[in-house]
Amino acid sequence: MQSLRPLSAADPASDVAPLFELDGLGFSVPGRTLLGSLSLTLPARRCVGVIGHNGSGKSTLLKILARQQPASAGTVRFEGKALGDWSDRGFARKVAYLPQQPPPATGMLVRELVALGRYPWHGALGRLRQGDRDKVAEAMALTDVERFADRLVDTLSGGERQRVWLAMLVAQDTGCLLLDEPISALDLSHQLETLGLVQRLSRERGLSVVAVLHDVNMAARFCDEIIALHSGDVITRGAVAAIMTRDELLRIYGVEMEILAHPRNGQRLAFAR
Amino acid sequence: MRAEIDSGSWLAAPSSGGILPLMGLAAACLALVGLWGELQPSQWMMGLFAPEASDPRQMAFHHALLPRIFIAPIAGAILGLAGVILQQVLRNPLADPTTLGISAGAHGALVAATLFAPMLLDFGRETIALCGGIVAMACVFAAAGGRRFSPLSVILAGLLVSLFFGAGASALVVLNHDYLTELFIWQSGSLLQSGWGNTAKLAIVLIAGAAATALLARVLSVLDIEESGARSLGVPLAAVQGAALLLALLLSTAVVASLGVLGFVGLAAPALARRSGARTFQQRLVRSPLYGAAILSLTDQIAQILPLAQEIPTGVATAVMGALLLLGLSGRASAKADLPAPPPVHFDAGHRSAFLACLIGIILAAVLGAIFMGRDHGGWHWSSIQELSALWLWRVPRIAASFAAGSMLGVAGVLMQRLTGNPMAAPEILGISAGASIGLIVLLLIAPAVDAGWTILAASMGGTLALAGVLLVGMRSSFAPQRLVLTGVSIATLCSGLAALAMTSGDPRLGGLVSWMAGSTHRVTPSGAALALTLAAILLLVAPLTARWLDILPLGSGIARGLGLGLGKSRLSVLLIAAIATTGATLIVGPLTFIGLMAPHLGRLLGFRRVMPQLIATSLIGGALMVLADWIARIVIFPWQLPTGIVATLLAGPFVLNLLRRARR
Repeated sequence: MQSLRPLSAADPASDVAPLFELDGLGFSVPGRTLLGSLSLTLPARRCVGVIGHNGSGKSTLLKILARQQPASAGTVRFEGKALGDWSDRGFARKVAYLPQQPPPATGMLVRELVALGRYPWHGALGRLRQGDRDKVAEAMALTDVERFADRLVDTLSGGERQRVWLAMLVAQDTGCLLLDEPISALDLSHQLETLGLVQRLSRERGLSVVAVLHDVNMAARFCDEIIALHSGDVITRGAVAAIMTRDELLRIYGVEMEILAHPRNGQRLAFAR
Repeated sequence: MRAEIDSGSWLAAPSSGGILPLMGLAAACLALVGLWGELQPSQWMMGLFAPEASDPRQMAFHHALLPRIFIAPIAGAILGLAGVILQQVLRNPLADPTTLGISAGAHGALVAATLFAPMLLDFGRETIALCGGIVAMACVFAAAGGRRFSPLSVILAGLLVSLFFGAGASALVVLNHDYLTELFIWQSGSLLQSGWGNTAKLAIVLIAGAAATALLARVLSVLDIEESGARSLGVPLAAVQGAALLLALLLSTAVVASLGVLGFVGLAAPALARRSGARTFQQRLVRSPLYGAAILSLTDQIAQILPLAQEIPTGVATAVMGALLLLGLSGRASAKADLPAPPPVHFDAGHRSAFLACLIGIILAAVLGAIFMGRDHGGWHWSSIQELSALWLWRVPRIAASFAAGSMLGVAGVLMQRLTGNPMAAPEILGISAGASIGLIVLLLIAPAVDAGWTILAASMGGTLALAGVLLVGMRSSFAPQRLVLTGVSIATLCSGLAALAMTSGDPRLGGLVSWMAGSTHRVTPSGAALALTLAAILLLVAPLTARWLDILPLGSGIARGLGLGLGKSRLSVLLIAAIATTGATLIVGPLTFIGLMAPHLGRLLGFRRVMPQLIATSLIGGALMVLADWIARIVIFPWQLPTGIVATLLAGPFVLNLLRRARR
């Protein structure tokens, strides 16, 4: 946190209640420290992009937030309660997580996969109520996957499949989505489509989103705020305009970048010099 | 992208000097001590060159002891050479005459020839063994070729082919009780010699093989780089590979023809050579035969001095050792997903009821056929109701028990495949049934006279422990498919090694083991059958409680955790059900059938995708298959009977191999 400085008076994190609070979070495997000592808060109801070079600890951070891995040092609180104190299903009702490479859902129909999102609510033996069915239908409508409802997931294209996984997350009906490189395997049009959907969900339904993204321009286009990691530490964070500067990008990626304004909407674009 | 099982730093790490001299020295010392025990050193020259025909000790020295001491390193060197060639040609550090099924094929061919066409043996045992080896290897390649010989597919296909040929050979052996013991000991790889004939023959094979290898060595070493690279260097790839494979086949089948199956020497020798720092192919080529010679000599010497009532066949010792080695190697295999996914099936949901009707019809036909149809001295016979009142006591229990066993295996198969997200997982392949057998063998050894309850307990404990072991290894690699399979293969190999050890020990307590391992159902009592059916019914009622877990678990731990599924609890519950089901079935039909692998796929092919329908359909299919196997076992060689387990393996084997062949890349 030492390297962190307030970037502007209107620090986006300050005007909403914190969702995640990280205190001295560290993660190391024998012989390597993946995350140093992270202390930061993540705001609710915002779309936060996490960027950084390969091996900077982005995915590790997200996995710890999603309770996929226990941290090796420090504490993480979600809604004021330490992660370890949440029950499995209780946490899954609050936070949904999409891993970097969603597994092949061999032999499942789209409808069935989306319905799995209701597991945290009905559990192993609970009855499937009308409310659950409604949530599934709503999620499929929101993500526009209704027309594939009766197709097998493994017959869909990459972009369609990613939308189906997002539909499952939406059906989970959580206030928070954690997405690990949701567009890394997609072509450009599907990248735009998927991130557009995420942004729309965040805005329309007031979801908190934390997404690991590789492409700084994509992060700038779709996120409200950007957190940059470098070698397992937060190197900088702030609103898009504050990050998309030559100096900041040089610090993040170690590459000289130029910034241009988008000819249509004035949005900043970065490219390597 | 081709996922290699990399040899890993553990194998490549150059260690100081290697343990070759040490092993050789130990073997030599033990051999000398053995010789000393038989004859005073002063008489050794005489015993070697001109044994006194009237002195039995000199005769034994000349015709039994000395040839055995010489044949061990020769055979070991041949196997080491075959192993290093196979590994180089297939670029697969787990290749070996045993893992590729060559030994099993050669052995099966020899058993068949001995029993049915002894005159063929005039062509030479080597020729017959070679034919069997070629057939087995062709099966392996046909099954694994679709996946461009990815190392794991080859090993899996090799395992299946080995089990298949093994079942065939066992069926033949069971049919010919007179030869049983002798064939069994020979099959377990014994180095007992009565003369210099075999030694001389193998020495010639070794010299010829070494010469041929020397001719091929340079082109083979080019294979260190990728295939396309080798082709661009102008190497006539197919011809070289074909010649090298043929050479390896000739070498390894020659050993099988003379000495029986000496498993895993061909796997261990190159592994040790690599560990000793042999980096290039030429280095491995020189050192592997040396290590092979040292391994086999040492193993044979140790097998001779073990304080057992009866000497264990050396092949059993090498098999046990090989299983442990495979376990060590598999722990270091890279964790990339490499196993085939089954071809996707797109079935119109509307046809499902028609399929279901068909299925129920087939099952009814199988059960009714099994109850009513039989053979008597006059031929086929359809029993009337009146006759049945006398027959039912004989037929119904074994049919019921077979059905229960098949259905439990089917359920266990579905559970395992869904738990691991791995279509080739099955109770048999993951070593659960093998573990159950080990439990039973141990129980029989420590407490021979016990009732059925103890048997069930011991088998369950063995099965659960094996499963726990597999999972422990698997957990660390987040259930990477090939890690699971290799661990399972190792446990299965260990089990067959121990079982063979127990059987060749001649211990009367283990008399029933042979028929149980083969899977006989003809001793099932009505109460036993009722117990089995009850267990199957209970499991079928309990398993659906895990249905939602089974939907989520195949998606992997990331998704499962994200959905708030308690992984430890759910995995353990599913595993326990699977272990109990497998154990129950294993007690009835023995450790080897492929029903637990086959039935879930049949259910899937019929369009039952969801958990519940798949569970029910699979249990019915498994049951029907087992009843069918039992019926065939009863009638095919009337008035004798085959063990049901063997028939089931022979029925399901081709299906399973075909499944592997068609598997999607």
